[in-house]
Amino acid sequence: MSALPRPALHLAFLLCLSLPVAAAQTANAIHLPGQAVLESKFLVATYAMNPDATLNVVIDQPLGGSGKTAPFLALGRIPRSILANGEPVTAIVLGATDPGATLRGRALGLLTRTQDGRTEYRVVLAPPDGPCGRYTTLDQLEKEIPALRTGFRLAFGPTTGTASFTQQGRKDAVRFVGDAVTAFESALVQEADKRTLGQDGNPMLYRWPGARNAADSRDE
Amino acid sequence: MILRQTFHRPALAAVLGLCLIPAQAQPPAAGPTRPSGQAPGPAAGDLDTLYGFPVKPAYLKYYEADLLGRVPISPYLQVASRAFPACLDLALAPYDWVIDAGGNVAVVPETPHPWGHAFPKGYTRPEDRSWHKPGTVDSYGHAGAMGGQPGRIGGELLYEEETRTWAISNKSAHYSRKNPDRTPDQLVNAARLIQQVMDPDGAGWGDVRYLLGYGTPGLKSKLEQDPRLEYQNPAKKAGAYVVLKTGVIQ
Repeated sequence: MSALPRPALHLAFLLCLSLPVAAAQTANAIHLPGQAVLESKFLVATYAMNPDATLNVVIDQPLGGSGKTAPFLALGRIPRSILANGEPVTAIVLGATDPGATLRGRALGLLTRTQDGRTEYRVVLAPPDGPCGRYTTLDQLEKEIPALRTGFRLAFGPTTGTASFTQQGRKDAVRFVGDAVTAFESALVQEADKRTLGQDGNPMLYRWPGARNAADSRDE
Repeated sequence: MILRQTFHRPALAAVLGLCLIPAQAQPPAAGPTRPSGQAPGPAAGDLDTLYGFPVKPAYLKYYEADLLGRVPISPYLQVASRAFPACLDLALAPYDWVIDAGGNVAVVPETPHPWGHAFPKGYTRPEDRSWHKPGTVDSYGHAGAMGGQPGRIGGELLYEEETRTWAISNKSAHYSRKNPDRTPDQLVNAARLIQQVMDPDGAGWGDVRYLLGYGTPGLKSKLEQDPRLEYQNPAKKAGAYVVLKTGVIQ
């Protein structure tokens, strides 16, 4: 790595950044915005999912909390995710305070608020090494820390009398985030960007440096 | 413009990317590798005995790495452990599973892959020349569960409507096929762990099926004599398997 000339590194960095951004210019099902917004709003430089199945989240706004009777809460965005309304997935992060920080957390559940005919979503994330890392469900969490219920509602902002709230478990949260990240990634990658098929329309063999690629791994 | 033109030449872009930016071969802001925050489990040697030695994937399908060689992780990934079980979702079945180096179960549903194609007329898979029916869409699988990293035994979780149960098999060409330490005993060990660390979404646990085509040739010859032998396609005697267990494994 150190043997590479600096211009080559710059070119490489630009190439890396520009590949998905270029692909986004004419997305199919969902129309993604331009490069600047992709970087600032959708955080394209960070992937959503880590190998240990924690989700990355970038903290936008602390929501307060005492830190004594209930953990601090903050709102954040899950990178490279998009919902039908064109916004990234918003998460409530347990035990987070610092705007701009990138944390990783496990999805415990999905909260919704329907108000004036509009439904909003908040995924509840618990960093595994944070104060709520030992919890596996929202029910368990709210049972032990009842004050959180109020905090979760405040995370939606001002509420009118007609608002209704629902709460779903981890299964639904996993699917919700998975769908939103898939929607973003599928919009980012165009047909022309993919590896081409053979002349007969079939895929071609691919040799990945990290695989064994041994002939005896195939039925040939 | 140059970048855009380069981008439309996937092979060239891939070569450029791999040659120039090895440091970018990992995802940006890559998170920790597993396991994380898990309760202490069996030692590595015990895990090797229980689930087989971790090996690199046998191969990657053409769409399972992006043009820079990075292996996208499924956004539906769950890594199940006793400390943090996974939640299966009937609506997302089938799933692919792999026991990772730390003895956790990585599990992903077979959802469409952003770098894959749809095949309205079907296609022949180059790895084993198997025919895939019209309408097939390239999906996340075992590579997307592991990010291309070494894994132990792997297979599939199929939800079967008739019995309302999950069937567990060793069907993984990436991590099971032709590895000598992916035996029926190791599949039963993995199935027991899966049952302990996954919420089946209201369904039950069904068959544990050892597919002969995903073992070694020697084991295949031996199991072909097994009285429990069945076929997925009895008429053609194709898809031979042995049911090792049914229901909850003690």
